[in-house]
Amino acid sequence: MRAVFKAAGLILSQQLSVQLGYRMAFVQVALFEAIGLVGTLFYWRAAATSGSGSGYSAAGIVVYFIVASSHQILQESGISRSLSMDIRTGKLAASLVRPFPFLLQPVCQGIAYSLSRLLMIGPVLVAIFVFVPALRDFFVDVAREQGGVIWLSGYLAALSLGLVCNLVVRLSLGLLAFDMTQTWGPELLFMSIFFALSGVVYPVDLLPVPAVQALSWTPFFYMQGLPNLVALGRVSAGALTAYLARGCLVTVIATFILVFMWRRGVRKFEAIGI
Amino acid sequence: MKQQTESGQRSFFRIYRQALSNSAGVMLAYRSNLIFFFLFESFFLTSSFLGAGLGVSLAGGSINGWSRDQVFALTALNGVSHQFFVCFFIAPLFNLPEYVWNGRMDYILQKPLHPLLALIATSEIMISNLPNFAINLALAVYFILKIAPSSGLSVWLAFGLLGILGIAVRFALAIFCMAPAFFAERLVEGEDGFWSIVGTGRFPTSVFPRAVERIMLYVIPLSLMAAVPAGFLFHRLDWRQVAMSGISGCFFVVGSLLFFNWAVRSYKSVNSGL
Repeated sequence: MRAVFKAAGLILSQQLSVQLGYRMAFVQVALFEAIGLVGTLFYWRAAATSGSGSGYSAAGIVVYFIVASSHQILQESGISRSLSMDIRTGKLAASLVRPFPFLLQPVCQGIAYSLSRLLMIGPVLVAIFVFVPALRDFFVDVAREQGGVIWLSGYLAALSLGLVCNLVVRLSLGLLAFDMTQTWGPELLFMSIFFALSGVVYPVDLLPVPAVQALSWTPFFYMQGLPNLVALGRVSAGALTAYLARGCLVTVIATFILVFMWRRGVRKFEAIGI
Repeated sequence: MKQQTESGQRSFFRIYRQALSNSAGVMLAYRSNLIFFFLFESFFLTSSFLGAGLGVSLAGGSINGWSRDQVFALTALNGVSHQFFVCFFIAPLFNLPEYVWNGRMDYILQKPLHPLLALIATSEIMISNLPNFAINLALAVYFILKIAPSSGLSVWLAFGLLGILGIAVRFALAIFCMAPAFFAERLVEGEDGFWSIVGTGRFPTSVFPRAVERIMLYVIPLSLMAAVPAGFLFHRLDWRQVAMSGISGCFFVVGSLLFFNWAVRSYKSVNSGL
């Protein structure tokens, strides 16, 4: 067990240095993302300014999409591709003989990815929210209404659950390579469903209540919707507890599926590779 | 000179016909991918309409003068333009960095056609997107007929021309994003840039602040991709605005072709890829 922890620490530090080493590539991609975000922000700001009744102010809707984009940046999305490639090319064989569980490697990669992204976007986000008075006041109001510590703890719990959920789902997608030569079809399909249902493209609580309740039984809701809504203070403490419990259940079920797929896959893996 | 041009055109259409039949063969051989692509694009279509529709609901029925049906028609028109681009132009342009990287550009340059035409003629045609092209087209027709704008033949003709110009602007934007690969073969982030920027064309121009709106109409005419044709048809933009945007779009397209011609001259046929 000690050796496993030591290996995990080493992998984590290596992955962190790799991720931080490619910071220029990240800056380039983030800049493109920011340009793309401009249209979305203006569209939704116009919607919130003209309408009333949904509880979204202009500042609230802008915060929603900044928060949603930041959450998306924190989530490692390439992990399924690299895992499926390892399986497809047979490279997994070399990893299996190492003296620690193979899945530790992608898990550490995911954690390092999120940490490195947090280090890079964190200061920018803090600067935005501190120096833009409308956005700062929005958070001050949320913290005042909900209680600062409770709100922050709830947010961190929802975000952590979302990151774990993302990791489990992405790894499961990668493991499809045990049964399929090409996994980009299911991966693209997953991405499109994720965009349609998770709350990246629109605030998920604008959907009818039954639809939100149904979505809360899927991982998509916890990967984006819940952390976004909690950050904006749009989930009461009671509802958050229920959602977190349900989210943990969904994640545990998804993890069981992941472990099942892994064990079944490794048993029949022949390391031939194409 | 005239004979050369005619011979070049004949070569282009002959090769293009062959590429079309090869693409259909390849796509139909991988039927499961075809289905995945269809599902993937359908979910993206769903998320586009959900996002647009919920925005209008939030705004209380219309956003800055655009009614729900007009926003839906705009979303569908953007889908038509997007799917047409993906079907016929995505492969030649988005494969460009790889061609530069692995030296395949040598073969493109040897063909008796302009390099851009040679790229188009010899690249895969994504027939997998044709069903979604048809769905978007049907939705666009449905919403336009539902709104039934009172327009004469000249307006419909201008609308058709603007639609074609919109696809040309999309193509030009892709050139601006991908052709830098000729200068440095690892400039591969252009694709991300394209996808981030291209989405801004799907929003009604009136949601942007005046300065941004002018940039989107007259400087980098991204709104021509969908919002200008739709805005013109629904009388949200006047003749002067549309004409100026159209002229700007023509300059943008010509500029992209000149940029490609300039960039392709930097190709040294010295590559590091395998």
